[in-house]
Amino acid sequence: MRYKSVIETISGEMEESVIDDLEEIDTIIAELEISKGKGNLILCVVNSPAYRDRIIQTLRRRFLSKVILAEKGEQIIRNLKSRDFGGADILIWVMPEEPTEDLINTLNNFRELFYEAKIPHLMYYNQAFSESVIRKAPDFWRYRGNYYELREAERGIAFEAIETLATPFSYQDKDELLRRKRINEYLLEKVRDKEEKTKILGELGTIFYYLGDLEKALEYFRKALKLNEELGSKEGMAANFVNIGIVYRIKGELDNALEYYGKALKLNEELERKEGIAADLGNIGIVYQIKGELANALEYYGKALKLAEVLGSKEGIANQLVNIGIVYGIKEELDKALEYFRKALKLNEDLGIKEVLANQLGNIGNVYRIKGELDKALEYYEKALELDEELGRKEGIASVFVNIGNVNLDKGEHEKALGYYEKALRIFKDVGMRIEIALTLMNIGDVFTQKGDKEQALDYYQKAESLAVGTSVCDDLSKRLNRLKEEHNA
Amino acid sequence: MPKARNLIEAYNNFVVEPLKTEEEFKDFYVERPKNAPSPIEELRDRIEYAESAKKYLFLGFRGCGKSTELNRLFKLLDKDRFLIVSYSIRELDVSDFDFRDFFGSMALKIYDIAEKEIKLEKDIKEDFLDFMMHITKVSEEDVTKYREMGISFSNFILLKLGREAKTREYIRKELEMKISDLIQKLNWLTMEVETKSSKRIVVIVDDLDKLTRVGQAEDFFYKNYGLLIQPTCFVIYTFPIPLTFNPYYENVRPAFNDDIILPQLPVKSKDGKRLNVRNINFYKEIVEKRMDLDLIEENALEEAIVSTGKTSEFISIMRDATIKAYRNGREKITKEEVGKALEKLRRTYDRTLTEAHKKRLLEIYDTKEARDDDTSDSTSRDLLFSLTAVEYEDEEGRWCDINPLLKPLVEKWKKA
Repeated sequence: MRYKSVIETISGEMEESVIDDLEEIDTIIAELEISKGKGNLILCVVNSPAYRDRIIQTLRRRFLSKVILAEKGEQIIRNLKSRDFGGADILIWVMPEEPTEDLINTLNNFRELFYEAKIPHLMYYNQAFSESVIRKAPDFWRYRGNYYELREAERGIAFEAIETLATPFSYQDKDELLRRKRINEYLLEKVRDKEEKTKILGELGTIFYYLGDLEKALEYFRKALKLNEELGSKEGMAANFVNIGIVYRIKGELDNALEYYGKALKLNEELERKEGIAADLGNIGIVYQIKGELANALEYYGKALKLAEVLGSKEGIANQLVNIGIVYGIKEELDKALEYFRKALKLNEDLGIKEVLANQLGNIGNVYRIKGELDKALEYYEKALELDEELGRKEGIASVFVNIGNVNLDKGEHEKALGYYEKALRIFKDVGMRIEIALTLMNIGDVFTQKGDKEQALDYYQKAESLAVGTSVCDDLSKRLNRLKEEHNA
Repeated sequence: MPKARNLIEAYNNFVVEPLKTEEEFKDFYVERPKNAPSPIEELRDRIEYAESAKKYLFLGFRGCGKSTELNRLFKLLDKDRFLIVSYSIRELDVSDFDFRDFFGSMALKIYDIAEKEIKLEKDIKEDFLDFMMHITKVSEEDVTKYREMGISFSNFILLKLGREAKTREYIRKELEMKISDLIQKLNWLTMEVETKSSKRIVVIVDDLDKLTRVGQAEDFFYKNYGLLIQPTCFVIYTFPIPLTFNPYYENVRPAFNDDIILPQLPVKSKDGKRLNVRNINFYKEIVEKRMDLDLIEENALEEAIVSTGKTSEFISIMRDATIKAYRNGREKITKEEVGKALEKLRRTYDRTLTEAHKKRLLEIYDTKEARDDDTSDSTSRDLLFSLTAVEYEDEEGRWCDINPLLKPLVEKWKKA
């Protein structure tokens, strides 16, 4: 090779541990070398500012560079027209998070200036900005010399799918939940009628589920199931199969969850209970999603959605819209994901179910984060957190903590990120959510990777790996572990 | 710019800017196929033989070579007989563009030419300056101040128009009632210049298709076409081709003397079954002018052509494939690098398109027509604007299709 390659020169230094897209960076360096003294326009999509800055650092070691943080169109024009780049070999433009009309129009209308300046330009922006460029600044886009999409190994994102409980349940705040718990416990002592008792046991299970006490929830659902079996109530049995399945799913025991959902589905089909069938299909979809079988998940969600539509169940429709949105989110078809989340949000505005609302806000935040719109993401996370705290939804709170941790890591705020991940980890451990624990451990490992502490990183990844078996988190972990091993061997 | 003999030189030769200098034309310009020649020679003839000044619409898609062809027109016209004002609307603020600013700036351009070419009658000059200063609220002192800094009157006003929202506000308010006064003054200047120099003025207005929003361009042409034909000089307006898909186009077209199209050359027949060898050779020749054909495998070149079929997109794919091949340590570009470059772009487009866009693209793919339901629906026009849909012309007439790059996605979209 005729130029210094990042890959060849890492020699165990910082670059190696912090940059994932070495191939691409090498190609960019080659392009910049070749076009020194000429116009060139290389566009790079990078969502995480911290990652972007590390890449810029790498490039600055090789080229005399001038970095310009663009804010206004006028400023771009002035800079380009001045032709005074302080002797730099390359100009690096960093665009802001938000693609304002002023900036987009300036790029489109003054694209020639980038070539007239007779110096190669490298422009960094996030995915949301990139989409605006393609749609609204087509002439600038057409003028690119090349473009890249650079991404670190994606951090674990806590998307929250919506399980459909056997019996609809909603509440205003944690106080109400605790009051209902006391009432049910009181009634359980008094009531003799078995049928009534099953209802109380079921509701208690649900309350503990919302309180994040999964063992207690399981205990009550099992008791209810037993009573239903004694009563020969297939409907009641189906309901408790679903609820038990949900608890297993949250604990991360996916095969157990599938088994119980399957039992419920069979009974509901026998009874021709469409509501039940819809709920079962949606819940089965969630298991597939967590296993990383996205096509299967979509198929089940789609079937569930259709049934919910036939039944005219707004809540059912909203839940499945969210779940479908999550699959698109994971697949990074972000506009589609947002479209589904927004539709669900609109339906839920009429229904006013707070826990679903919290969940939707968190998911929308995730989409913005993936697009690189970090401040917008934070806004959504904060709203979700407020609702989750009001409701005492431990699972929700912990998920938001993970996601806020991700934003902080994107921004390069290692300690803050670590703080959020640790808070989340405590809650997940407390509730006993295996997969979420694994995901959070993996993210903590990422913090150490970025800090260059490979030993700690390896430790966290390995801890996570044993918990993540059979899920998509496991694949993410393998990639990280392989890379660490490769680097170790190099 | 010698023909590239290695991949580094090739990378630098695949630039997407329009051809401009003599040297660039000599080295890189490729004549379009005989059955679909450039309309520029004919346009030159029309202008040179015209008895009176005409107004033309020049239509073409983004990136199909319009600016290059207009640069050629500039070179082809007889300079002893014509004064050419080549003018891009991007000198104004395109995002806040209005027909009143346009006429104001056009008048200033002609005033500039007059100052250079002839000695203007004192009255005409004073009348024009007074009028312009009045409508832009510029004082005598301002003008003097800038003149001392070496900035001419027209450049000073144009700068203000381009940069200051306030100046645009003034001029628009004033011209609300006085637009015909302005056009009259513009015509006085034209007559004065043409009489004294014995040359005809030809104004080439480029980049009107760069108006960023469909609505902006429609407002400009469809609401003001009566005014656009009033200047007494030759004017060539670049016209955004997606606008011809608006039913209103048929009302506007006859007002102009002619609409000249730079057609998009299809690389396949309408049914997609036959390759259009002549057009493929045109694209091959573009590459051949820029680099030694030994630097690319033949099937790789064909793949790049058939998957893009649009000059600027083709060139950027070639550039990306070139750097990839160089990085892979190859002597020549292979199908692998072309494939990767295509796939990268395809994925990006796929992510950017909304569901409504994809649905409409599938309709276009099936019917080979791009129509919007009514004037309020601009989906098809948006797609044509962003070049994800294209109109072609060949012996089968005019027909539309989706960007060839997106064809591998059709099955996936259908399933979704």
